[in-house]
Amino acid sequence: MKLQVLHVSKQFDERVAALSDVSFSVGEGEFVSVIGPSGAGKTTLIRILNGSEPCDGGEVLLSGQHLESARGRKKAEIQKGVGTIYQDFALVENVSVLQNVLNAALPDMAFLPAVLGLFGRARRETAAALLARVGLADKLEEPVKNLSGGQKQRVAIARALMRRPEILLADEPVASLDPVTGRQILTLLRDLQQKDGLTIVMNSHNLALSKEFSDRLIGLNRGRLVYDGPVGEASAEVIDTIYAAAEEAQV
Amino acid sequence: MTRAKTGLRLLPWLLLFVLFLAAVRFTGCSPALFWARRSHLSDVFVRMIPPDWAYFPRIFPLLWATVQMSVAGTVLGAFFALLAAPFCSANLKNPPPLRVGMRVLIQVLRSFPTLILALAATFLFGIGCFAGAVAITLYTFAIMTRLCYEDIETADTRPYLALCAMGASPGRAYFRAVLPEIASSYLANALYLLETNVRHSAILGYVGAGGIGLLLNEKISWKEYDRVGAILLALFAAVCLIEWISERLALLVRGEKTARPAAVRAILAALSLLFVLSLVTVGRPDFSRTSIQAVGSMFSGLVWPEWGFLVEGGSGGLPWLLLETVCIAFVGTVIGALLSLPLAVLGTSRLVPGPVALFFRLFVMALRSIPFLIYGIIFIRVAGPGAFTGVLTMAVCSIGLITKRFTEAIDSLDFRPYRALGAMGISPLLRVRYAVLPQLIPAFASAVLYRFDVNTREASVLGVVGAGGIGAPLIFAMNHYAWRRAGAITLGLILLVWLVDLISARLRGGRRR
Repeated sequence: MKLQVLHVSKQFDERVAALSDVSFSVGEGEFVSVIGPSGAGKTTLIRILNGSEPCDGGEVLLSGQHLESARGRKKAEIQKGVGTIYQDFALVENVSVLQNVLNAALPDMAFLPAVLGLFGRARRETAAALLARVGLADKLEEPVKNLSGGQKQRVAIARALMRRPEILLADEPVASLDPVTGRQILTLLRDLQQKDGLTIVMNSHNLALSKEFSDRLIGLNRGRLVYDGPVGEASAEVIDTIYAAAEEAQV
Repeated sequence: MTRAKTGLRLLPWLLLFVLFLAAVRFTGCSPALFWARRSHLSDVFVRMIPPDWAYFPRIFPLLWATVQMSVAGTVLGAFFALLAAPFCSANLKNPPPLRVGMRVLIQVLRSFPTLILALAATFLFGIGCFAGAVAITLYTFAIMTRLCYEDIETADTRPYLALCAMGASPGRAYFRAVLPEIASSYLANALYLLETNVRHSAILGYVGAGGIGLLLNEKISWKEYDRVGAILLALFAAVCLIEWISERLALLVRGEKTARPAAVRAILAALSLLFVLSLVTVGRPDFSRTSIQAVGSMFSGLVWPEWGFLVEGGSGGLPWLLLETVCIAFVGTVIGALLSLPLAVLGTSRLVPGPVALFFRLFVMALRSIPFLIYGIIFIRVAGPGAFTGVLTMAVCSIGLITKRFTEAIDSLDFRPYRALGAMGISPLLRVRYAVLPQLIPAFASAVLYRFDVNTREASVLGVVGAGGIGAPLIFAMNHYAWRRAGAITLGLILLVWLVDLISARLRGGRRR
């Protein structure tokens, strides 16, 4: 198993549980979509999976290593195996595309070269090759702020791949893109999954796209896991249970 | 793509560092001396407290005269700039020779510090506020014209051309189609200049051009520090008030706040009343001591300067003095920038608790409200006459503007990449280096370069108080009617400012790429 989530809980304030007792696992080379209404805890889950947020209970195992209980250097070591892309890209806007991708090489570098920005030829070539892979071979020196939204997400994907991640986490990767560009990005992700064997866990509020591109759905509702199964088995009824409760809660 | 390029990127920084060390040596900066004599600095401030409260009634008329000069000068200068700017813009219809002429005139005017303009004005219009107002008008005119035509050149001229094609005269087309587009930026710049001008006019009294400067100078030389404290406090209050008003107005101008039409009319009426009041009561020029010959020799000195002095070698020659001026400005700017960094961090409520941020903002504002020559006078007690005093003065004077710009940059920081790098297991230090600094450096660099530009001009009057640079010989020459020598120094100053301008524009352009 690439990723095991065991009884993870998270509480932000006293009344509402962001996540309660969520357990699932993701196998090598799977493309899993986490779906659910807004406020279901999808983003919190991703933030726990990449170690940005501690959880109140439970454990996360990445390739068998305990992320949750790890601290400091050990934790950073495990985090190196996780690539994350975000809805708003989280790139450094006024720096070149290549530099943004190279940032992902920093954890492997000695302190002095890292501070001075001496990345070396090999890393630059790797970064350039990854940018070619995501279709940005001709934009290496372009400042990120000059790119379109879709291109920015491609840079973010290349940056995540630069880590040679065990798993790629995608937090609403196409929510701020137009439908056509969004499909292109998801096509790229599926291509990376099928050709390069990348394991992907994606948050999405777009059910149709999730069904089309991923193998498996995980349904969250108000912090609880309400569905975990193949896309094909998610009937209309199942979908209703994932989303219906939220409407109830809103009333 | 290659390693050589990475190495090359470090080279400019290294060069800058070497230049800085050379300039530090040249200006005779000595931290040890500063430390040894630090008590002379704290002394002055301690003796200002408590200020002489009873003295305030004496201050107000002069403070009003100072505000008056700056209001009248700013409004007039900004108004003339609006008329002159279309003749400087390359994208509007105007005769090219006129355009080149206007641009040269603006660049020449821009090279003069207000103090020198004021001194020249006193020779023409006699001692008093009128000369000061003229100086502020000219200074504002030069800066506003330049800002204005730069705005026009980036504006969309299609509506203008369309109106011209319909047979409207270029002048009318300019007012109908170009002005609306640059109006908000124009007003914001004018408001900003008003603030700066209040500080500038506070020192014009030094050369007899009216305002509070005369009194300040007198009290400092008589060592009546409690009264100096009172004057500085009044000045601080005035600057705060004007800054507050102009910030309010700037919000309105930029459309970030709206007001009812009645309120807008009331504000406009109040402002015009203030302007008219300032203009009417600014005092009459006194021509009794101006003669045609004096004016003639003044201008002929400018046109036909003392050429020999331009290339005179040695420590009394013009090249040496100019170099000293630039070095003072350079070292002062660098030290000021370094001091601004922590102050900027402590001044944003984004990074520190609100009350702390407020305290440091007020502190920086207080630093800013003291006119720069006063710092010169204070520092001279610590570092003695010479370039080191100039450096200290420039350093402290740079803090206000640079801190303000730094704070703005920090306030608009995007923390998402910082968090994204954190999720990859990158240490906080490297995260700052790669996700925070790249966002800040362009804004920092442009603030520092701009300040260097301003400092070069201000450093050229530091000599008035004995703080080194070209100012002392220039004012000496002017006061002794040695117009040909003054002309030579002026020419050197114009060339210097033009050169610095060119370099900083190039560096800023290079950053943008």
